[in-house]
Amino acid sequence: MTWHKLAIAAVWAGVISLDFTACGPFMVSQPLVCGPLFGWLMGQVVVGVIIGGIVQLLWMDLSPIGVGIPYDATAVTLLAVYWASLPGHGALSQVVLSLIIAVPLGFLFRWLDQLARRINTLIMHRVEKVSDANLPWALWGGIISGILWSWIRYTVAYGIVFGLGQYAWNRFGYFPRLTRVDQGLTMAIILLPVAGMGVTLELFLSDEPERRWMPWRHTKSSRKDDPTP
Amino acid sequence: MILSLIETFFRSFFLQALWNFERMQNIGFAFSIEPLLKRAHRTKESFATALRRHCTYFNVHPYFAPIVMGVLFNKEKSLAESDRTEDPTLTVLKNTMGGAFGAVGDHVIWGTWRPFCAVMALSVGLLVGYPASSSTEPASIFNAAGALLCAKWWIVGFLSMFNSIHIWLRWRGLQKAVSDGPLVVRWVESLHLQKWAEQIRRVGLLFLFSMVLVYFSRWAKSEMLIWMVAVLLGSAILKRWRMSTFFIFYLVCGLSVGMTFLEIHWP
Repeated sequence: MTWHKLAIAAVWAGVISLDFTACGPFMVSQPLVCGPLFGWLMGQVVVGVIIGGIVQLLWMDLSPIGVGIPYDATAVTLLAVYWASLPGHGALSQVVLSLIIAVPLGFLFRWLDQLARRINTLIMHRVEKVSDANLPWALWGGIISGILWSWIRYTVAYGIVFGLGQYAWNRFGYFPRLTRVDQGLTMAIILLPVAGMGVTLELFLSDEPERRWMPWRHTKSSRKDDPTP
Repeated sequence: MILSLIETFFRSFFLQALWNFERMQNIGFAFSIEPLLKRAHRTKESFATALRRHCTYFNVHPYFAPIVMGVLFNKEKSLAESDRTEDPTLTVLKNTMGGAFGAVGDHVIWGTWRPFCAVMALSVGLLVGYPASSSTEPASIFNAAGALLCAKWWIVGFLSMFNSIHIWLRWRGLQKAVSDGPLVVRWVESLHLQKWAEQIRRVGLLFLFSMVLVYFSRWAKSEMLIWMVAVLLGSAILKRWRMSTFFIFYLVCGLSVGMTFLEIHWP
């Protein structure tokens, strides 16, 4: 892919990531939405559907609770879709390979998000310092700069990681691999959604884990605490 | 009044635009509530004091924020109509509501509604774009036509379903909070969100099982089926044991490669 296409991909990835905190959230950044959408933008809907579906099922339970910033499954989806969409890399084993490379980078993007929110604190302090008369305008400025800062940092981060990955992919992507490794990676395409279904199953069952997972244990403890004879 | 409500409603989508570790949603909250504060306070001085007051720490689930804004509008209005310049209960009420609605939102929206919508969209998408055919061919999801159909269902189905409740909760919550004030809590109670969450989880399980059946039906005649059942149960158990999804992902990739070395191939 050319630099021009890389830049367009980074811009779109930045726009999709705005859904995290800058605007909404309308859940456009969920892997089952952003995977096919980004795949379509890259001209590879099939790749987007496979990666989006797998990542959504595996990381269904990610939630931004309190001050906790979750693992960035959106970044994993976008990076994997981009690398798997590179010309000559559409094979199913390459799709899994791109996911294998992208998965650790979810932690990198989470760290970048934490860093960006620390910089938000600086912007917030600047907004607070203005006089009462100018506060309404300062709030507008703060919100606009927050959105712009979000978009720029995501676009730049995606641009760099897309580019570095593409460079490495082009250099090492065609290294001869054992046929069995290729077959195994293709097999992973079938098994990864199943593992995701297992993770999601656990999520749905864990609402009241002590009752649903091990009902006998709950019954025992309930009887113990029950004062009635 | 309706214009102020609409403006606050649209501004509330930017609540987290300047989320920071020190005061979290403070700037977003002050920005969103500003049109309502203009309504509540007639003098420039009292409006400026009120706006400054809302630049303090605040955190809530973003979808419940308009409810807090509506309640605070009522409190600000009664403060503006009284002789007092400050009301200490206002900040206490704001933070209490933030904590309570934060907990409800995390459980009901993030923990239940979003996974439910995702599972529903995924299962319907698979059902439509992934029809059962010969077990010896790669799945139709890998074909462009099937994938496109699947993608349409996932994107349109998930977004419309999830956001119908999201938008309704924001708008109706704001309206009710402005009209009822702190009594809006009764309206939230009357929604029985916790009970609904429990029911939704049960229905979600049904959709999940249907998705598993549709997916597994493809390999009904092959030796892959037993491996798939093992992976399904194994990953659920590992997750139950607090194992990281990161680890499960690489374990399954390693297992798949290992299987081919044990002569267990793609059917």
